[in-house]
Amino acid sequence: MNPSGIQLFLKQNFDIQTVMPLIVVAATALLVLLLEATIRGKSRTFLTAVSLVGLGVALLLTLFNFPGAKQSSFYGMVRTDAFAQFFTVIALAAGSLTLLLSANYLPKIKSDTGEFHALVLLAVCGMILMAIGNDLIVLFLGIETMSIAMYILCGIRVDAEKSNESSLKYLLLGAFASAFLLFGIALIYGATGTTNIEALINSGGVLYGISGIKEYQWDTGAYQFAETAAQYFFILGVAFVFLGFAFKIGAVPFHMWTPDVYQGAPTSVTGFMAVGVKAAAFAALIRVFLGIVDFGDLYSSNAIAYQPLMDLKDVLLGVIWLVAVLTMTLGNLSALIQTNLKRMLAFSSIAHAGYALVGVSVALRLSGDDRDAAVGAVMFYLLAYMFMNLGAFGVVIMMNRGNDEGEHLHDYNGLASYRPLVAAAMAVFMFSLAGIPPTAGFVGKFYIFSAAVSAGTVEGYGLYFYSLAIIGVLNSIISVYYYLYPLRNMYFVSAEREHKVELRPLMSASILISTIFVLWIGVMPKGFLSRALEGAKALFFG
Amino acid sequence: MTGQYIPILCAAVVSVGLAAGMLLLSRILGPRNLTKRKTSTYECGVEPTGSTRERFPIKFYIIAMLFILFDIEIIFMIPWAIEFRQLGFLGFIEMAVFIGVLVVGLVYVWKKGALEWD
Amino acid sequence: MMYNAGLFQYLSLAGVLFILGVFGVLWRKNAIIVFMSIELMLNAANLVFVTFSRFMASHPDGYVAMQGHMFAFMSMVVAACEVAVGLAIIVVIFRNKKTIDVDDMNLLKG
Repeated sequence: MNPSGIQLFLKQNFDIQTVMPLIVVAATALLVLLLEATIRGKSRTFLTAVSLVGLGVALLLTLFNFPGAKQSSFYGMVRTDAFAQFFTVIALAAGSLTLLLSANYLPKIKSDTGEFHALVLLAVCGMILMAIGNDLIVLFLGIETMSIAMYILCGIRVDAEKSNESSLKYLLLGAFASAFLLFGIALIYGATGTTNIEALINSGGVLYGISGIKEYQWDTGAYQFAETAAQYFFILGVAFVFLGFAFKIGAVPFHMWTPDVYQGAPTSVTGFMAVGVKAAAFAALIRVFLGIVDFGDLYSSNAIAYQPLMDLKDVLLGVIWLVAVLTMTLGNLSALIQTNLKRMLAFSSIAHAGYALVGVSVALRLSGDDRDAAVGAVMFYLLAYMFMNLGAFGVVIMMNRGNDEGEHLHDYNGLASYRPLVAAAMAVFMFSLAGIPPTAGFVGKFYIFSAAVSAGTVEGYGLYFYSLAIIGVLNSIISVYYYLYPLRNMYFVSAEREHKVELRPLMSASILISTIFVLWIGVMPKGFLSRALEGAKALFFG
Repeated sequence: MTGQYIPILCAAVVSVGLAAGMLLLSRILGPRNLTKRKTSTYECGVEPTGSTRERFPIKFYIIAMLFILFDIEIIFMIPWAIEFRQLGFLGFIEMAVFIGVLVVGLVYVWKKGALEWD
Repeated sequence: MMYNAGLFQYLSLAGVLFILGVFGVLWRKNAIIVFMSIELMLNAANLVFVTFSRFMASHPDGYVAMQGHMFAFMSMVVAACEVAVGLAIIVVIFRNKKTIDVDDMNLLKG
């Protein structure tokens, strides 16, 4: 650890204000848990209200009382910059919308318990930790806080075997991925001597881990050996960490759990998982991997002779290219043949992770303003994706009547004739997911693919990024088919029988909010994009 | 440095090989005529009663889970207790908050009746 | 001659434990054993942390090296929470399905 790194650690203050939203959400979760255990009433709508107030206060604190740019606190453990702010807002909004959607849905599936609310709040806590975490320890704790809450939420329907199964699958595979993540973090720690991303950058590209051990009085040969070993530890660690994150975002080839878990979980939890977990995982992924790539660059600029670590960036780009292409293509092709809407949306969420990965891979290659634009595009996309996907899941919840009915594509036949407003909302979400203007999904995809095209102008990377953009656009075209399929059923197929679709106030409010935001972001993206760009700029350690 | 381990390696290879070979040979050569009496569980010559895989009441699992959760928290308290004076008032507050969270969990468990044995 | 196990020995042990855990997860069918294998992997990671931390302790910047020990604490607590939740889920599954064989988890197929 070099002197500047030590000073960095020492001067960090203990600033409670930076984690205020987190504290508010956690305290609300505990309060809800206590209320659940002590109140005797039958209705849990009261708990929804308490949770929403907690999330609302946290949202206000995040929007209007967030500490200034680039502030680290708790000895560099958390970093509350505009990037963290953006993803904290996504987590809080996803949590609020989920609770709104669940208020009328939980009694239908006979899981109307206060634990549900508390667990959603705790999962939001985990997501906030992942957004603000600046240290691999904090990020790991955030991932686990979120995941453990999600494991239980998936299985919240205790008497439904599908829900149980979904929960067990998620738990076993999630814990498996976490173990890889932890092992990877351990190796990175061994190689660099720190788990802090900021300290990693501030080390100036020197591996202070095992090659810095003084106990052995290294001679030159042994030192060389230790240095090489440290590089391989670092590379292996990065690979394991990427594997862990790839699992959390559901990227191919670690996507197998996604459709099963999404289908088996209660629908509101599925929506929450698809947007919240994914956005938080991308937040952590971007922060960690930009740090790692910057460290690799610094290391390469220091090196005199060839070192294995110098290849890391190109290998990483190649891997992410492949993963992004496979994720988009496999997600879309599998979604084509689905007949269950929930399962179709699960595969589509895999495809969307692929689109976001395109942006990440661009961001890893570029630097300066171009990198900010790419990161901003991913952030913007995740925000848009949150509203459109939660909205679509909201309509699925509305159609639900206590069991799997209402999930099948033919359940939507003729919906437009008897529930025109619900059908219109669904149409907006499907257009947005397919990326058709004037919706949020179109703008998001546009920014991501244009970032890829502009990255293609970098010398020697033309084929690499142009092909990525072209494959992405082709995939969007494929996806139009299966997104418009439910619309065809709703508008052009007559209903055999009308489903009883209840327009309950909280649920409708949630869908209405989502619709408004999808259109708002689609028509006037400037304000949202500038916030995203601000966040992307704050991410850069200068 | 590694030379001194070669005898151990030899011993390990020989012993594992011998054991595996014996098992394999007895499986290939040995006659096999299973009778009901032969396959039944040996319980000191007494007739076995019930299944070996007896199911425990669910209560044991709940108690075990709660024990794990409340037991592991000590891991954070020990370092705090050791460094109590250096951590000062701030450390005390932090630990109070931590224990407060645990108490909330305890109250929840208590009110839900998970601590009742019957 | 007294021989002190060094960095290499500890890391090898951790690597072996981790790989054993991976194979356990991939090959075993009983959910509880799969879960135990995952715990093995987590503990292998803990061992790596503590090892690196121990061997960095003589580093000029000693207290940063303590991160490894702290990380091991954190991940132990996380592992305990996962065990509690996992056991609860497995118990619920057993009550409903009368089996915890992961190959019998086949209700959700496309």
